[in-house]
Amino acid sequence: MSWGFLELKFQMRGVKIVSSFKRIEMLFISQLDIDDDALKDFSQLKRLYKLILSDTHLTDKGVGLLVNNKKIEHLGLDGTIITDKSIQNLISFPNLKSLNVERTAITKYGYEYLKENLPNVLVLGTEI
Amino acid sequence: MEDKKVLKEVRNAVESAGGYIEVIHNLKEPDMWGLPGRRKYHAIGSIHLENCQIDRTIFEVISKLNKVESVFLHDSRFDEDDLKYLESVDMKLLDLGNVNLSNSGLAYVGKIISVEDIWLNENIFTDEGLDYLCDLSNLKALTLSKNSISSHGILKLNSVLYGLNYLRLNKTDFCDIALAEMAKRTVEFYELGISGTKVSNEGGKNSI
Repeated sequence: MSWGFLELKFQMRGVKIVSSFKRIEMLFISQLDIDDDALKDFSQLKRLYKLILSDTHLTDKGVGLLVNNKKIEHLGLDGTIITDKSIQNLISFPNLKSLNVERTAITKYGYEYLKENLPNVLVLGTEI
Repeated sequence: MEDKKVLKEVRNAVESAGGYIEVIHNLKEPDMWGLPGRRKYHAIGSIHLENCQIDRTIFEVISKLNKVESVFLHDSRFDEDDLKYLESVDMKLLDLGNVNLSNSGLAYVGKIISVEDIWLNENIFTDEGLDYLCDLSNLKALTLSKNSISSHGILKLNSVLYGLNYLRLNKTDFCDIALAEMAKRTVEFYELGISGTKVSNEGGKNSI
């Protein structure tokens, strides 16, 4: 580990420091007082396949920050404030197996679109 | 290889309490477990005593085993002093979730040196009890979720934290500063659970 990396690691604060755990595969950070900014460096987590962000202040911008995490298989976004604007990003995860968008601002039409376009994914949403 | 008589005794004891065992039929394939059935078996892979009332005699019988991969006791009721019978058994996984485990019970758990994965969620021990876990040098996975423990207690596990790959601290009082401290000490996490803790976006807003 280089000194430069160590320095960067210890400059990080709060949940952002999780980005320094490069080998992390499963991360559970629900019910935290965090927003999109927390995910700024998550694209470095190349092994991440399970990410649970339920009941945080995540928005559509935050979902956009995750699109480079190509290994994601399980994504928990229930109880966040994402909208139909996230749909194109959500259908772009190539390895997705389960997606939870319950209690979000995704509409009934958005939920139907997700289910249609992710036929092999278990999609949980709120049917209003 | 375990003594056949001991294997039978353990099976009968576990089943009498409403639990079951999974066995290893072929020692060349130690990861292949199955229910006992009629086939001959040579070792016990796992003991399942979840949701059971477990009396001392059952622990005494289990203590005759040299080795078992996993022991599942979550949601069971027993006298925590009986955990002393597990100290001599070589095991990799011990599940003690929601068993009313106090600091005194943790003292016995801390002597099961072989253990690599411990589930201690939803119990009644405190930061003080975590001292007993400091000698568990083989530990790779630790679950402490839903306990009344603070960052101070968790960081006391200094040497243990250094070897962990899986750490679950959901719904504890774990905070930003402790996360930063942990990042300095830990080799690598494969799994981290900090849901419902005090960890925030920027850090520094809370102290240990």
